[in-house]
Amino acid sequence: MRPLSSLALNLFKSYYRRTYVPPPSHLEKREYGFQLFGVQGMLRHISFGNGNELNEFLRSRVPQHAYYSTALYESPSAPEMSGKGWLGAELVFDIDIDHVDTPCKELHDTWKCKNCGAEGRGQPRACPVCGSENLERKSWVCDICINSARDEALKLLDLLENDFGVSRNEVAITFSGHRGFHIHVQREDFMSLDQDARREISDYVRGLGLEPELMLRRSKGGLYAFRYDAETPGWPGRIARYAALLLSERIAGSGLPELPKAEWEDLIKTAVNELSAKIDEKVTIDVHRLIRLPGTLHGKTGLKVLELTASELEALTAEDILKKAIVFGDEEVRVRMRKLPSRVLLYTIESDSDVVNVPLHLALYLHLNGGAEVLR
Amino acid sequence: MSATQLRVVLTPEDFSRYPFVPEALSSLRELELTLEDIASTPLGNLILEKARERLLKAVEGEKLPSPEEDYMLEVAVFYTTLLILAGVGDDRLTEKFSTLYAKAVYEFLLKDLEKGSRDKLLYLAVKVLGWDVRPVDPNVLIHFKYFVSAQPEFTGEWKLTNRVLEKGYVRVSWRELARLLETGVKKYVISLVQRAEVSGNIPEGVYRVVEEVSRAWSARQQDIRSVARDISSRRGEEALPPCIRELLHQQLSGKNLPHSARFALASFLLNIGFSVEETLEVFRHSPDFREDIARYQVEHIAGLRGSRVKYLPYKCDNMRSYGLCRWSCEGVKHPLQYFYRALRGRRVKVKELW
Repeated sequence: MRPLSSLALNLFKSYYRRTYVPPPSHLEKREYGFQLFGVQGMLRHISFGNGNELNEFLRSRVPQHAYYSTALYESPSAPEMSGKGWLGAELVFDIDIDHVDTPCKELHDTWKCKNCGAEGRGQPRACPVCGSENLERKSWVCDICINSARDEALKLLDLLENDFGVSRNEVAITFSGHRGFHIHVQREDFMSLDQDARREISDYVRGLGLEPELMLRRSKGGLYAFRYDAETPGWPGRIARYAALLLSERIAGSGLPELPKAEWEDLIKTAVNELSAKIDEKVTIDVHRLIRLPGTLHGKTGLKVLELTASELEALTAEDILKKAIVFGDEEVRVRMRKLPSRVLLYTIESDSDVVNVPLHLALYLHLNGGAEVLR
Repeated sequence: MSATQLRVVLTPEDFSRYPFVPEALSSLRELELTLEDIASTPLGNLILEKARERLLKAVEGEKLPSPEEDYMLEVAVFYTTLLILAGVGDDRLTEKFSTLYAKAVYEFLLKDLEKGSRDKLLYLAVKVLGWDVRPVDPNVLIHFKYFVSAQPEFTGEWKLTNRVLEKGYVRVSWRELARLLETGVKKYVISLVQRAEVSGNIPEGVYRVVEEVSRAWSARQQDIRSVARDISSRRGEEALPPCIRELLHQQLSGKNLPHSARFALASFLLNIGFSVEETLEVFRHSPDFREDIARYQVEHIAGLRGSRVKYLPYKCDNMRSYGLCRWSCEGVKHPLQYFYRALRGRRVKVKELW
């Protein structure tokens, strides 16, 4: 173990010693999973009878990563899924901006092609040199990333409220401690939804499977009219409002203009791309998922997995969120690392050297995620 | 709409068409008929014979006989059929019977709609299935969680993404509500079979019918297995991508697949060199198989009819979004790509996504 590794362990230890992690609802019916420092693989099928047992575990084992199941089980610690007795699962959405193009990725993400050895910055889909998709990636989080994740989360909250009738006080929001947010819908009546149902909900918020043709009506002269107006609920109205905005110069009188079919189809596609929430559908569909436990630390960043209300998410800036999630001090630490990200957390690192002085919480992040060595 | 607001007068004819409603069951209790009676009295024997006849039809995938006009008799036959299904204890046969049964119910619901009795549909939705459904002239609002549990397709007009969804409610037409009820009734009948319990020993006479139906069903399964063997020996099942393999297994086990799944499977088989006849053979095991319709559809996909275009199966992204695939195959974007790679002897890394 390198010096900071024991420091990381000690920092995590100090955190769990001074913190009481609030037990999640139905604590005793959930499965927990942990990854310990320096140990491969995950400890799974763990259960706790009460909040003290959970906190005692965190204090004594000091996990690097801590997860809990979105599902409730009769016997959460049964080693096989078939023996657990599934009782239902929360409806959960994971907003992760890994799949969203943000301008900051050029500033902090790096890749190396395992096929041809080329390397560079940003997050290309495939190696620009040889075309291989087999890339080793290193990604970092900064306030710009969190801002775009926050935008996606707000779009999702709007869809949940207006379309699905889930009010803002029925959702629990978690900053994942890395590049996104988890949105847990706290409605007992959704717990029994099966995977098909969850896929339909996930497709809906992503605007997937939306067929422009169904929203159009053939009109005179080979032109097409949009069937719905801005007052229509759901996707049709959302698209109508977006179209009215884009076409504002061409609207004469009331209502949207008639256009050639291809133009409508492009416009609808753009609207859906703009207005849909970029979620990771796997998390929503999986009814046995383990997800980060709020109040614990993210093992790649050292940031706190932070619970937020909907109004906090709206009111707080990315900077506020990061500040709330930083739980370690800012005493200066000297670290050495190759390919330092130039934008990370709240900081801009402008250094040609591999050696920099940074606050302790950033040093921890650089170490956990980038293998930085601590020098002092 | 809450259950208490809804007052519907059910006629004997309704009990005969919808014998699964709780009120119909209480009429059976009035009859005070026991399992022993079914096995040993003339009326009981009549009931048992009719139940047997229905189940043998279900085994063959044929249309079920019309319900008895005497509703007391119908209710007794219906529950006896469920008891025998519980005795056979084969989920696929239960699914098959329930699918056929629900299709017949759908036809009755459409007739009720034609007569303007929308309240029958509301009654089934709200009182029997417990759905949150609200009539809003000229449509119906249904809470999305019941809609997604009963939608017959995950594409086109049925896809939730293409519906008007407001504050948790999906707007549907009355006809669409009838179609949703078909799925709801099917699932309800399956749950009745799963909950059916027989206290004490099954009388000899009833047991004989359980045995006869089981025998007929497993003979049918033998046929199905020989088709499966055929496909495996000819192409090697390993060459099929996991999505198609799964669809094929479900199809051959008699599961009622949605239209999108049948299209995916048929177009795949036709594209890897199956003839129309061979493809039809696979679909012969659908609970609702009808040779004329199936042949028309398969010939259409094969490009022998209509637009004369031979259709390709959906690409992987669409397979996932239609709920037909839960895997990720490395470097594969189309199910046929997997097949051709496998034929060339290349192994494809497969990961289960959820």
